[in-house]
Amino acid sequence: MSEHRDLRDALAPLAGDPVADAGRVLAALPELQPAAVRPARPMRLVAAAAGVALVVGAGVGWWLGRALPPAAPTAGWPSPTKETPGGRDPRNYGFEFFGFGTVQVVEPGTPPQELQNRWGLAYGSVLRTGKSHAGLLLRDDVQVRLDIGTHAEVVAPRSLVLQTGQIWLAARDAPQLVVVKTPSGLVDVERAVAMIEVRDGRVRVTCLQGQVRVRPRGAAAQRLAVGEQVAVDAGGQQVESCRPEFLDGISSWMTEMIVEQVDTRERDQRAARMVEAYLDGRFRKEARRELFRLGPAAVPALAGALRDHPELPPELARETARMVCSMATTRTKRPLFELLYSADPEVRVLVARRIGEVTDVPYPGGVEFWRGASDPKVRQSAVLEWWGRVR
Amino acid sequence: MVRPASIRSEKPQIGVVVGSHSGDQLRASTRVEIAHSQAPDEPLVSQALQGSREAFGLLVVRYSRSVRAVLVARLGACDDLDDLVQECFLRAYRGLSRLRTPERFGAYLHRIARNLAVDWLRRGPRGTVPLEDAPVVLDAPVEGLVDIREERLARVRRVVGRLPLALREAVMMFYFDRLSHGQIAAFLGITEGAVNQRLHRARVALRSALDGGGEEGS
Repeated sequence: MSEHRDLRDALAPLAGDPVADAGRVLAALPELQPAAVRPARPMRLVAAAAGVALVVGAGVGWWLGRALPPAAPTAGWPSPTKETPGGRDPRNYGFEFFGFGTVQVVEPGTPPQELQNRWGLAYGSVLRTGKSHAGLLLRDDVQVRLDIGTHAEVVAPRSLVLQTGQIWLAARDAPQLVVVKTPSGLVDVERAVAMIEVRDGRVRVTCLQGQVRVRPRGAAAQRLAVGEQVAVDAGGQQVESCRPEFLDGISSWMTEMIVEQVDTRERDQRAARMVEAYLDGRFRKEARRELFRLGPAAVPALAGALRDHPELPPELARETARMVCSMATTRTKRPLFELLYSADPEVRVLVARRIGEVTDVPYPGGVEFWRGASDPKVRQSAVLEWWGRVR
Repeated sequence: MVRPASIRSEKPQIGVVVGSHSGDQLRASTRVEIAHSQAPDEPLVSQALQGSREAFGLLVVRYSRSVRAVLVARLGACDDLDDLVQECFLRAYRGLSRLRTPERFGAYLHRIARNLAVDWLRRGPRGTVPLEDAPVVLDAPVEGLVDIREERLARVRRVVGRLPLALREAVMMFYFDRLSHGQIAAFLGITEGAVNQRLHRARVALRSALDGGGEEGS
């Protein structure tokens, strides 16, 4: 296992949540004087005077503070109700729906409608995804993803019915358990992540994080630990129990949604795991397929692996470079340039050719220049020169 | 509530991970802005100076991990970390009008974070957790290997905690935020070559300590 991954895993828990940090900072901002951020020399003098006054006495400081000009109005955050599609605040009545394609939705008391974007929906809504995917955000940040061909009902904030199809349910921070009802029984998800599939009268549950409890109809409940999978038939009898070797492989249907998310953390983490699996070799074929699904989003991780592992066998390095090149676009050209520093002439030629294609700015010396550029200093100056032309 | 088909718009810009119902308005309102986080700092700083909270919120989202990296590198996993990150951005907001070069907002934040850490240390250590005792969350732990992995990660953190400050800071920034060498260089106010060298030296130190068990006795 590389020190690269060790460092990443060891330090990741300390990295914090930028969105939560921003929430705290912005919550504290209203207490500030907005005028303090406006450049004005007299303001600075007043502030300095106020500082001196604080030393002299709190009373004088208070008086100077009163003497400051009134704060200029600042632009506030849009209100949640304006943000919510349909003008409804999901915190008050329901949950958020994100369509990845057209999804048929039946809200209580309304005729069926086809939605393909973000909406607030009422609890009791029934969804049929057809050929599309969908994402749901329930109370307490419980996330649900629906695969194609899924028929499900969101009964209440912590209660879903899965008639057929497949869902991924993440209730990492939910204070109470979320129950999914299936034709074969119930599945309890509490501070855990699970995949639940209903096909041909059989229910398959996989625990991806935490612990999941499966309660088959007429049979004893069973707890699943991370990586365990169980299948139960329509009568509640367990028909299969196993531990999938390549756990990420069973969630590959979600990749499109992960790529489209604005928050890129999950996508980047997935790309990093796939690169690890690809280099490790045991599941190279599966990881390679998943990396192609991730597309340009996987380019930085793949190129980073090439850069950080100069010890890779030449064939694997070139195959990896070919993957990077086939997925790279003009938006991911920077990692390509980093690969021009490679000591392998074949990698450099592949990459130089691709940079010429995606940027439409070929290197003046031609692609073959890179094959013969054995001197690192020559390579560096050529990289910088080319980068200066395309950036 | 029935929506006419004409209301349907372009493909969704938002995934399920970002949203929140917990009353945190930022999560509901910055998601779209986060999509454009490749935009340079300068216009965001000017908008923040004109009173745009959205712009400042985006700057916080963009730099909070870097600030945290600077603080953790100096203080370890202290209890006050969230408060210190918040204080860093509040100080930055208060002093924004004095920032002559808005494009160097990152370097400006770095200075504030560094000074905050120094102030905090001057007041005496409170609630500091050594790096090796920080909690570990594995992506997909495999039963039986969890203890071994946790032990290894604790050793990694121990080694990182004993690196010289400059190396530790670069390592934190690289692995917290997956920043490029250029971005780290801009934040720390050093050259890309120096960043590259620091990361390399840190990895060499880590490899040597883990392979040879060098960190045990030190």
